[in-house]
Amino acid sequence: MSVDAIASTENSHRKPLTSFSIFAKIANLLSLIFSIYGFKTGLAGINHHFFSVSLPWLAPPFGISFHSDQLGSFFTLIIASIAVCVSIFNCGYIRVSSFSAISIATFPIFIATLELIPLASTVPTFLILWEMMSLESILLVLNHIERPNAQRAALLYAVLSQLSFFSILAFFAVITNPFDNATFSAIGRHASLLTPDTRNWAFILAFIGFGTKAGLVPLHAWLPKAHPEAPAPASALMSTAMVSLGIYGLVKFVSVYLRGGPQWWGLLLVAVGAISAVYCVMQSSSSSDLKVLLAYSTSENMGIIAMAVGTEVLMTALHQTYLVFASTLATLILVASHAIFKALAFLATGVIAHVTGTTDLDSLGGLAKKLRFSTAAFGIAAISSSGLPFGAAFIGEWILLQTLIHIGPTRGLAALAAPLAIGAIALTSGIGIMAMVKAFGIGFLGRARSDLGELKLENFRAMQFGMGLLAVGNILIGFFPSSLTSISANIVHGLGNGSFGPTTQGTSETLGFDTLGGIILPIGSAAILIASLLLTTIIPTIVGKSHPESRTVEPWACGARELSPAMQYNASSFAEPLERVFSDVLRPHRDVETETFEESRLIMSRIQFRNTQQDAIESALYNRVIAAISQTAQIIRLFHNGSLRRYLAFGAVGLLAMVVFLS
Amino acid sequence: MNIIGCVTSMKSRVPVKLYKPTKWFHQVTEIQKQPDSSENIRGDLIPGSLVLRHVDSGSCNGCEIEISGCFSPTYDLESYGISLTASPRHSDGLLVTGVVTVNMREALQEAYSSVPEPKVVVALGDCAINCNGLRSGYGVAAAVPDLLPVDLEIPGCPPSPTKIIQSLRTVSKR
Amino acid sequence: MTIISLCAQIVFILTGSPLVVGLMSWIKNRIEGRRSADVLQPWRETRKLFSKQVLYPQTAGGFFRFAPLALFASTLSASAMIPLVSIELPFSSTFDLFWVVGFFLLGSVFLALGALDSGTVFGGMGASREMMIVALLEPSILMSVYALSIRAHSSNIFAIVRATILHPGQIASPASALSFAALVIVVIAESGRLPVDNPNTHLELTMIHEAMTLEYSGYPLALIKWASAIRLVLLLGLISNLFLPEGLFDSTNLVLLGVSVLITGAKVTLLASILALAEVHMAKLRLFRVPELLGGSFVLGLLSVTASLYLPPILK
Repeated sequence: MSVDAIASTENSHRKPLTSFSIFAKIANLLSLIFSIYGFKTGLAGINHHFFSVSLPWLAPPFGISFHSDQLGSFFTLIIASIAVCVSIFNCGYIRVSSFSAISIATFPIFIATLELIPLASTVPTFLILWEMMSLESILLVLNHIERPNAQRAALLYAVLSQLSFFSILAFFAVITNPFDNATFSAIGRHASLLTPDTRNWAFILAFIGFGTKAGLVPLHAWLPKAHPEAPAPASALMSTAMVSLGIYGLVKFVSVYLRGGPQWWGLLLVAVGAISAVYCVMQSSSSSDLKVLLAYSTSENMGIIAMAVGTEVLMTALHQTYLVFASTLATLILVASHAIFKALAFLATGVIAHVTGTTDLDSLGGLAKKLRFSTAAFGIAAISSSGLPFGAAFIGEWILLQTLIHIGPTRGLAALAAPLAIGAIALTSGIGIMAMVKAFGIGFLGRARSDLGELKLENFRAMQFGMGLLAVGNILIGFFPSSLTSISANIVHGLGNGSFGPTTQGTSETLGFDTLGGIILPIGSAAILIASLLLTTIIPTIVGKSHPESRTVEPWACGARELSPAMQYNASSFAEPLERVFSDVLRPHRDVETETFEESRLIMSRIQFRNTQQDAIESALYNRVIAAISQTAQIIRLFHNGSLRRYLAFGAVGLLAMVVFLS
Repeated sequence: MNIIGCVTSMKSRVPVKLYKPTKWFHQVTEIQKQPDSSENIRGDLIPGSLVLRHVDSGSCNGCEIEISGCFSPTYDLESYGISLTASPRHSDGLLVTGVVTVNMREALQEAYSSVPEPKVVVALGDCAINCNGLRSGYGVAAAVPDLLPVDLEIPGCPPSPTKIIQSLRTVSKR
Repeated sequence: MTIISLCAQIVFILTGSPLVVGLMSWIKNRIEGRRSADVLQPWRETRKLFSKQVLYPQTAGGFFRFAPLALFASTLSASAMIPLVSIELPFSSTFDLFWVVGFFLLGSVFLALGALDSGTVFGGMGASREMMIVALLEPSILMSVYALSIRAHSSNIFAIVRATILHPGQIASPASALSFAALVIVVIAESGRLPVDNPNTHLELTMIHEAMTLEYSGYPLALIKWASAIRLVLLLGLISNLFLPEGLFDSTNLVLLGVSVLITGAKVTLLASILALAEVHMAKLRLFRVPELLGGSFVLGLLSVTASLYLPPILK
């Protein structure tokens, strides 16, 4: 993007009103309208004013029909809130960045599709929209269709989203009653009558289908490939709204329709979630591209959410009703908070990519001095996502931890679930903090690592407004979590048909559970923090007498004349200790190339060090699968020699086999 | 022999030698008399704590050996509130040893400007004070007083730890 | 009255923490056969630093200036959330251990960001190492918190301490012993003591915490040093009161408050002395051996969790 992005920046603002810019404006307007309408629908839906539309003439013979419930409305609300901010951001961004015409046209439709999926009430509607969503996001990944990386990413993504689609298709085939209509309510009635085996198959299919969409290991590989290619607003939507729909599928179909599954469902979800979280956070901490880092972090968060869903299934199996409530609550809150901080992070990254032309951390740095607003936005997103107090992610993780520590003694494998899950969450949040310190500290603080020229921004007002809304949302969730928790608690109550015990303690500031004996009060702690900050500023005047005027000096270079910016720790060196500790998992690929002088082979003229990150799972699993498929293809090709007689013989054999089979 | 010793030795039938300190600590530091308060210099420095950054600007390492001797248990310079640090930012001044060589001149000035006010410069050893007859050397730039405002000179080639401590205590005033 | 206990606690920590650091180095020096400076030496240094000039490197940004304030403020906030002199403080029903641990992390994160913002080599090096240790420490902290919370059926610090006061027998269990061992390692690593980090080192290449502070001078440096002293005292106080809460009272009258202050002071002094005695006999671990130590702490925490879930306490 680098060169053309900057080139287009320079002259875009002065461009006369071309048909292209009118087209872009219309697209923006449409996406704003769609997202605001979706927001309204979602808001009405969680207050029991359900959205209901039936279009039997569209897509015959099944027709399209929507009838929302509270859960779906909640997801629509989350998606639409993100979409509103992203659309506003896009009003400025679309003019300065290099969107292709197809991407611009796809964007509003993508928003509409995302918002409609949770409202779908029949299987065909759901499947059509699901496939549309995949196709649209592939188009957005292919924004720069000429780039080989984009093509590869789109191909991988297409394969995995088709895998997801087919397993969801198979899931519906297994779970739908062939003699009833294909509405979700009919599925709900039918699902409880299925045999345990059928239910197990349905669970596995749903798990693969929706887990791929959510980016769980080992089917996560599309996320870190697709995000660097898609434009930032599209990444923001894909990484928040689209992956959330994977979780929506898991919640709706696994924990609502297939309620009461055996323990191993929950254990499998917890295990895969834990592995995803830990593996992806390690990858995230060692990647040096900002967008890849954020993409892995998305997978990590989805892993934690999958753990919450798994805990819910496990608790249902163990009949701990209250913990079912708490873990479902954790799921919803985690989805909402992840959406809001990740969207902000991606939008800020978009500004960085547009202004500097790169997202490579090793050539960034010192942005805090030039791009104050985007730095603040990314900083808020980074703190929110790292599970620190006052961060949006803390709330959901805390509720999940509260659930896990109250599980108590159990039998069998489940006994291990809680301790290991807590260990996984803790390791994830620890390394997650490191990843975010790295993203923020290396990318935005310190000195610029390469000459980025004069950074200039145009049409920044709309972008600022979009990011500002998300930042305010983050701060609100972090400091006043009860607004989000009370909404989510209502939804969870609706899910349980009143079978859940006491609700959250409902005062406006505290957040907690009476029965779990855990309460936090972010605003009270914030008051303490502010008081401490005041005390800290007056302590120097109390303890010290007057001190000489402070001075700005050259940095201490141990007596050397000058420190060059390249001497700073960069993204690779920052992550090196952790990479070394987890070298079994991360397997960084290092290359040292030396060139020597001709006169003496002992004196080097140039040393080049290259550190490339590898996804161990991707290289181990995917390459083997691809190799196996191409081998099978080779064998099948043996039968295709082009001889007509042989094909006729195949036909005859096939016919005979069918006769035998049918008779 | 105490009880544990008996038990162990009966069990193993091997004589066990136990470490038996007579006191829980054994002091080796020679306590020196505080210098007369009339000798104190730099009244603007807050007494009780003096942190120095040591700069070897071209020393033969004789002075360094004496400095390291100062921090040994025998002399224990730190017990008078005087210590060395890695960063000039943390320090109250420089402790310079050796002649200032051409290569170290800029580095020394750099280090001086990196020390926050109020700051002190201590020239330790004859080389630092007056080049000790090496001024005509091709690599020698100057003595420390030629470049920096020296507050305290500790003569000697090298000065003994006792002398170093006595001199530095006129700055730390403890 | 809770406000008075809070003020007492804050004053106790602010004045006492440099003394504890002084005491530890006094003990270490005496064992090494030195005369040693007295325990007031850290106070003298703090006082001096507050009157010194502040130098800011040209390369540094605003975060570099803000970080020491944020570190000190978050550490101070954490010290208002831990039962050191009373089992009742303002908002004490909302101080979850996970939350309070987060405040310690917040301080580390701000200091690391400030170090990265200095734009120098050692800042980044220290930040990278510190964050590695933080990342690996987090599991053992949470595991120990988990183990402690099982006993009290709550992860609220004050509830855990109250439960221990109500059922003192429960402390005599394998689970408690294991979580105590895990927490000791956590405390050592969090407060940057030997064998994880050497607070007295002068070698930049072996530094962890110190490397982050190399560019700081004047009162920001004093705040950082003071904050790490406070952190040490808080962790020692926390661990002593989690496992031995005797001497903690409700905030009812000033005499009891005074007694609590004295008893906690004695407990912290005792623990600090033991730590100092142990440190004399230890060398710093290689940086890449530290993860093994932290891993060991995690396993101890895990064992303690399983023990408290499945092994009953020895005394009821």
